[in-house]
Formats: sequence, C-alpha cells, structure tokens
Amino acid sequence: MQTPRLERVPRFASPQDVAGLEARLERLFEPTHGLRAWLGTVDHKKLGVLYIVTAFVFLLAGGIEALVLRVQLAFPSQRLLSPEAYNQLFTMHGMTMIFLYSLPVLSGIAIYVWPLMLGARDLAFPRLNALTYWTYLFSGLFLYSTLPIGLSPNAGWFNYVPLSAQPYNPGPGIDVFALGMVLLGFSTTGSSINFIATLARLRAPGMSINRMPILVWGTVTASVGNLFMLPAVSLCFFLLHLDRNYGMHVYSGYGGGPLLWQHIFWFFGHPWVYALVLPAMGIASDGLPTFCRRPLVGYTFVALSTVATMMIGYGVWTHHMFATGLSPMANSLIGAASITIAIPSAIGVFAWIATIWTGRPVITTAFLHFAAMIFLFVAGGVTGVMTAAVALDWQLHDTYFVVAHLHYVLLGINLFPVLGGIYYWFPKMSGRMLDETLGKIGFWLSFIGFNIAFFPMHLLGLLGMPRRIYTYETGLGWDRINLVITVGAFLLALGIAVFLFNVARSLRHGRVAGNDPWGGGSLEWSTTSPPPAYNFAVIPFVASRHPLWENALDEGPQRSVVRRGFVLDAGKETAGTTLLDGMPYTIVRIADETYVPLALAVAITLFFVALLFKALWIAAACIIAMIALTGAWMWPRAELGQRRAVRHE
Amino acid sequence: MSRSQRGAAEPVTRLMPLAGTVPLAALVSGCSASPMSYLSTEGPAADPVTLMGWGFTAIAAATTLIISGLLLWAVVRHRPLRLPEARETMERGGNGLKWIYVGTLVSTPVLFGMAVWMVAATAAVIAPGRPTALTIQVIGHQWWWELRYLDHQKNQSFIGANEIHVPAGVPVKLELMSADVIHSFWIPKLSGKMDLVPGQLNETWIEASHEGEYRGQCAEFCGAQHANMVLLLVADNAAAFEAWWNAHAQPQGQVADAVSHGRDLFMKHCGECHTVDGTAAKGKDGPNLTHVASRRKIGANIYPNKRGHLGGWIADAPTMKPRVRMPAMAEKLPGGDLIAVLDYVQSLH
Repeated sequence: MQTPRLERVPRFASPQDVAGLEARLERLFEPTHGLRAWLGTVDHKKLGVLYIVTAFVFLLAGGIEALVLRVQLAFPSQRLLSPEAYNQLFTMHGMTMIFLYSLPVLSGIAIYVWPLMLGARDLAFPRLNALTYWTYLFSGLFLYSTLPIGLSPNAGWFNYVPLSAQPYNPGPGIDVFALGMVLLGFSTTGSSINFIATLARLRAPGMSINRMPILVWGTVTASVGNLFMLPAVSLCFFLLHLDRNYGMHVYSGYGGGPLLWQHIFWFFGHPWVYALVLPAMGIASDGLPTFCRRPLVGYTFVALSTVATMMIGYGVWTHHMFATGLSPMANSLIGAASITIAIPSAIGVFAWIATIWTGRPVITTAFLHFAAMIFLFVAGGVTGVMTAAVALDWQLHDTYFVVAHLHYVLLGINLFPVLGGIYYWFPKMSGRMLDETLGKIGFWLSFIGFNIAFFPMHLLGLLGMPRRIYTYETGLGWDRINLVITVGAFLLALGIAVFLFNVARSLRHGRVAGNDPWGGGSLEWSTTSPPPAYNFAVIPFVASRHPLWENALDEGPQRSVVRRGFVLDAGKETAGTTLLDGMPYTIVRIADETYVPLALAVAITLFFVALLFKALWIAAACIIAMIALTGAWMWPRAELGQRRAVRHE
Repeated sequence: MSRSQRGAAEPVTRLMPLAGTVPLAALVSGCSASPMSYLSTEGPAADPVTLMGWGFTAIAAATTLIISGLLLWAVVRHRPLRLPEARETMERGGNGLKWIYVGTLVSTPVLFGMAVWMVAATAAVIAPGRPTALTIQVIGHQWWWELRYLDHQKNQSFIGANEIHVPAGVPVKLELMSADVIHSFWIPKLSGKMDLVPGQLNETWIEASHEGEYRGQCAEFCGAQHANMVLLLVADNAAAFEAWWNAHAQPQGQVADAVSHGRDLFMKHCGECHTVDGTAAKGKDGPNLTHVASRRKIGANIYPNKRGHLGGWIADAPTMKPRVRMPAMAEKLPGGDLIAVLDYVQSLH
C-alpha cells in the first residue's frame, strides 16, 4: 500500500460552491488563439482530433491507392499500370493502412476519450502527446515523400529481404521505408508509454482496475504489447538500412540469411495486428452496452481475453512462415497455438451477442457498425483458423484467400468499430449529432460494398489467384470475380464518402447534442459537449463500472459522485491515484502550451532525412539539437512544481 | 503412402457438389475452368489437405452462419427502443454469462478437433510413402524457373527451364533453391507451396496421379514480374516420360545447314546468357535453351511457343514482359539476322 503523498488536501465540493471556479479553470486551461493554439497545444482533445483527422487523410490516400489497384485488376491483362507502378502502389497501400491509419486512428480516439472516461484533465504526459503526434505526422510525410517522383517502397509492407536488399532494390524507396518506420516507432513508443502511465496514475479516485472501461483495457494491452514488439521492428528496419548503405551483411549469407528478417519482422508484425484490433474491440465493448441499455455481459472475461489474445499473439509469429521450410514440429506447434487464439476471440463474440440478447437494442448507426463488427470478426476469424492449419496454409498462403482474411479482420475489427466509435463520440467531440439517416445510408453502402469486395476474394484464393500480381491472364476462372470485387470496392468507397460528407455537414448543421445524447454510463457523458478545456470542473469519485447508470440499475448502496468532487484549481492540476485501487495519491500538474515538442519532432525528423541522404554531419548536428531541445523540455518549470525546494522527510 | 492416398480422393469427389450450394461458387462455372484451383486436386501430396480444406470450410461456414444467425436473432427479438426515450431504460436482465460458458464449451472441443485434423493432414503430406523415382532441382530466378533433372541410378543429369516433366503416378523429390530473391514453388493441383530461399535448401515432393498438364506460378512476391513467373508441369505415362527423358538427356545434335548462319549469330549474340548443350553457347544468366523448340510456351510460360511470339520475344522481350532481364535484340539482329536466329531456335527440338 502506497502512503498517500497529497501535498495538500483538496476541497471536496460541487462547482457551484466554489466562487469563480469555472472561470478560474477557464483561464488556467484555455488555449491561446491562432497558430500557437494548434502548433503548441498539449491538450489531449486537440491532439486526439489531429490524430484522427490525420489518420483519416491517410485512410483516404490508402483507399485511393486500393481503387487504382482494383481498376488495374478489374479485367485480365490490363496495362493501366506498369508492374513497377503496381508494386509501389500495393506497397504504399499496405504500409499506409497498417502503419499510418490503423493504429494512429485508435491512438487518436483513445487520446481524446481516455481522460474523459477516466475523469482526468489530460494524459499523463501532455507534451509527450504532442511530440508523438508530430513525429507521427512527419513520419507519414517522410514515408510518402518519394511517391510523387515514382520511387516509393516497392517490396510489400513486410518488405522481405533479399528483394528489399541493395542489389535487387537500389533506389531510395526501401531506405525511405526503413528510416520512416524507425521514426514512426518513436511516435508509437511514446504514445504507448503515455497510455500506460495514464492508466497507472490518472484514473478518477475510486476507479480500481476492475472498473475501467474496456477501451482502456484494449488500449493499454496494445500499448504494453507495443513496448515489447516495437524494438523488433525498429531494429530490423534499421539493420536493413545499415545493410543497404554500409555493407553490414546482416541479412545476406555472411550473416543471418533471409529468414532472419522474416523472424524479426513477424515477431513484431503478428502482435502488431492485435494492437490494431484490441482497442477497436474495446470501442465496441463500451459502445454496445449503451445501445443495449445494459452493462456489458462478462466484463472480466472480456478484459482478460483481451490480455490473453495479446499474450498468445506473441507466440505465433511463424504462422506467416509455414512455407519457408521450418520443421514440421515447429510448424505444427505454432499452428496449434494460432488456433488457440480463437478461444479468447470466441469469448468476446459471445459476450457481445449476450449483451445484445439480454439487452434492449437501440438501432443507431453506431450500433449497426458494432453489430457489423461482430459478424465480420467471426467471418474473418474462422478463416484465420483455416490459415493456421499448417498444410492447408501451404495452399492458402499468399493467395487472395489471405487477402480476404486480413481485410475481414482489419477492416472488420478496425474500420467498422472506429466508424461506430466516431458516430458514438462525435456528439461529445463536436457538440453536434451526426445525421442518422445519412449514417445508415453510409453504413449499408460500406457494409454491402465491403462484402461484395472482399467475400469473393476467398473464392478467388481457392481458385488459385496469388496475391501481389499486377495482372493475370484470362482462362484461369478469375475474370468475373475480379470485376465483382472492383465494383464492391467502389461501393465501399462510396459508403466512406457518405460518412465524410456526413461529418462535414454535421459539424455545422448537426442537431445540438447536449451532454449525454445516448444515455451513456461512463464519465465522459457527465461533462459538456464539447467538453471544456479542463474536462471536469471537479474531479469525480467513482464507485462502479458505470457511474452514470447506478441510479437506473439500483444494484447496491454505493454511488459514484460526479456533481461534487476534488477542487483542483491551484494551477493546471488533476488527481493522481494508485495503480490497482485508484486511491487518491498525489496531485499531478499539467504542462502549459509549448513549441518544444514540435521543435523536437522537427529535429528528429531532420535527423532521419540526413541519414537518408547520408549527410552524417547534418545528422550529428540534429543530435545536438535534440539534446538541446530535450534540455529545454526538462528545464525545471514553476507551473509543474519543479522549482520548489524539495522537502526531505 | 498410402493411407492418405487411398483415403482422400474419394470423399473429396463426393464433396464436390457442395460447391454448387455455395452461392458465390455459381460465379465460376465449374472448377474445370480453373487450372489453379485446389478445390479439387490430383496428387497424394495435396489430396489429404484438400479434404481438410473442405472440412474446415464447412466448419467455418457453419460457424459463421450459426453465430450471425444468433446475432441477428439477438437484434430482432426485441422491439427496438428509440432515442431519446431509450435513455431512461436500463436493466441488467437475463443470464448473459451462460452464453460465454456454453459458447466456449462448444467451440473449444471443435477447435481441438481441428488442431488434431491439422496435425494428421500435415503429417500425411510431409513425405511420400515410397521412394522417389527421381530428383528435380528447381532454382528460382527473377522471373523464370531453372530445372535440373538428376537420375542417380542412371547417373544422368541435364538442365531445362520453366516446363517440368515428371512420370505420372510416381513421387518425385524436389530440391528448391534460389539464385536471387525468395520465390515460392506452387502447383496447386499437386501440392502446397514451398519457398525457394537463397542460401537455403528446401525439400519437398510432388506426384501427379494422372497424366496431364498442370499450371503453377510463383507464389512469393519476387519483384516486377512476379505475376508472370509461371510454371508448367507435364505428367506423362512411363513410356512417354522415358522417351522424353532420353531425348532431353542428349545434348543438342547437329543442325541443318539451312540454319547454320542463325546458329553462328546465336553463338555471337545469345551465347553469353543462354546455354545450348553441345554448342559453344554456355551462358548461365538466362534459361537453358537446349531443346527449347519442344517446350509449349516461352517467357516463363506466358506466350505460346509459336513463330510470331518467339520472333517478337527475341526482337523486343521488354515490351512483351516489362523489366525482363532479356534485352531487346532487334538492333543487334537487323532484318534477316533476326529471322536466321529465329529459324535456328525453332530448330532446337
């Protein structure tokens, strides 16, 4: 038990009791105006929106790339794209969707929603939050920098050596990919640390870990996972860069051989796909109960199966390598372990269905997206079991069957719950409702388009069409299916366009939402929409998993307190609590707006640009700039209480 | 072999009509038009897996249908509530946990059974049940297949390209290697994939139950022309295979005087990259062209081996297969020279 170290005991009161409280908080937290308000911001709500918008821009880029690929494949023997252009586009499509859309959009949602769900005023490290956003944006621009000149990475998103090694791929594309991935790794590592620290310290008093929303479980599971897997991907890409430019022979015959790349890459790559879906499942686990008018069935099972999926996910990376000549024993063990993942997945599915079954559904657009996710997860999950079966995978591997499987799981359990989550939280973020009619039109277009685009890919795979081919001859039984798929892809794109139109329109013309348009159970619905810069005027006290549903459920004597709470107004402050029990523990200070994270992100990015051009002196100068900026960052600040004399006890 | 060999073929055929019940299968008019389909297979290295594929597909389809049926039922069994009144309703009814207990208890044994089936089917195709008749080394190149035929009993070996000949009904050992990047050997009707990894020797085996031609293609992304790295396997009866072997184990014989000018040009312009056994052409960069006129296709099996295509290929291969390593020869072989070389190549039976 940690001894409470509150430097003062804050007042416990309702906002009305404290004269001028909200005005004072307003002054403390309110951002400056103009450019500084965005470039220097450390507010999780602004950064969350920046993350989400940036991720959607990349989603559009990756989607347009996909449509171009689908036009090329609509008919046999087309010559719309050269093989080189096709290979660059499919590589960019995969890289964009996997690295620049899927995880960042979940980070953005979590960055926005977490503090509101947790009853906090920001993430644990607001300036780190700004740094990770800017490095994410810059790494995305870096990775896209060679697209306009036609020299993008072209060896696929898993970038196998020796195809990506210097002799077979001398252009700059692979180096851009390699360095960009290391740069992006900075961002993802930083945001993961931020989530973990926030979970450990910033939950509202009383929110013990068995009372956290499932989104929090999902994000923190992915974040802990990231800290273990990201070193692998950064290492394998950085070694590739050294291999290509400085003759290190890491992946050539002298060193580790081509399979070394595959092992290290998939040691990262497989857990990564769980990091791309677990937080999104969390969105559905928190959203569904609101639209079923009951708490989630099997909270503990769902939370633990989230963690279990991630842990088993670390032991199955070679199921991407069944055909590389590993021993039958190794293959069978990994195959069986991969099949095991279906068990925690099944727990989640049955928990969601039971929640709907025993609840009273409210069929909103968000609900439809969550329900669609359950269906797509099952359809994509069962094909995952098929590809886990070693000898069967020898046939399925690298065919369109795998393309179908991965799109069912990645779009099914990332894009659909993300869209559902945006329908769910958009009113909170903007203060206005998204239009439900447009929403349902968009949903059905994208759901039907998705299935027309991706279901036939299973069949195409069974008919033997390999993935990553820029063209195919007629007479193989693939022609008509490919045309159907292309039509479906455009329908899906139309559905996304309707969603974007809805967002643009509703920002101005949407119905005013009010604090709690859905009757949600977690803390974010207790504050205004959009929330004030300080989130909560007083820090609430939590006594159950659904602080706002306690009266309606009436299941016990204990009640959360959201109208009254700790008054923290001696600066930009929020409550710090203990890891397991959420006991009040300390007062945490929140940094002011600053340009230092942006400047540091620029310096880090320039360092990688210098490496790309082998301008090692400039790289050295960037390191000095990074050290100087880190010094400026760490310089003791009065507002963070770092300049007071330390009292030794 | 075999248990798997006997056991597999029949149930697979029996299951075939199921394809018609899957609505999307109707999109493709029958599997016969799909030479790359492994919904039905024709060799013991593939058949047990095909049966497992159908079994797993059935389980997967049933699971998806049952779960989505339950999901749909869960949604429609209530009269849906409407906002904003719905916000007032709130109750924790029913025994939801039962779903998790029953669901997990039902799905876990099914998954366990699938894992056992997986291990059994994998074991059934790991190795042939009887000794292999011959060994063929397959060496991947960007973007074609080099084939080395080895017969240890006869102590014979020779080199071909892109078109594998095997005796039907006999297991053949394959030794897979790569000269450059990773490729993957895949003839879906006969076996699953095995990668060709540089610096590594992978072994697998293959057997065609019937005579016939089987299409394959590279299955691991290997660069610009990955899409056009096609493989053709010809399975002959024992006598025909013997005759083919005897003809191809011989170096190229003397050619008629009519093509001697073409031969000289070939030695000068083509011999640096291509080999024709029994001549001065000993290049290793491109496919071995000994007996090339007897092959069915050219350009790694993407164009028919006909005079027009072959002439076009020699004149300007990069247009017919962008980024191919073979340079356009039209400038070096103006007018009549091209025809002479074409005549010579077409004489290499």
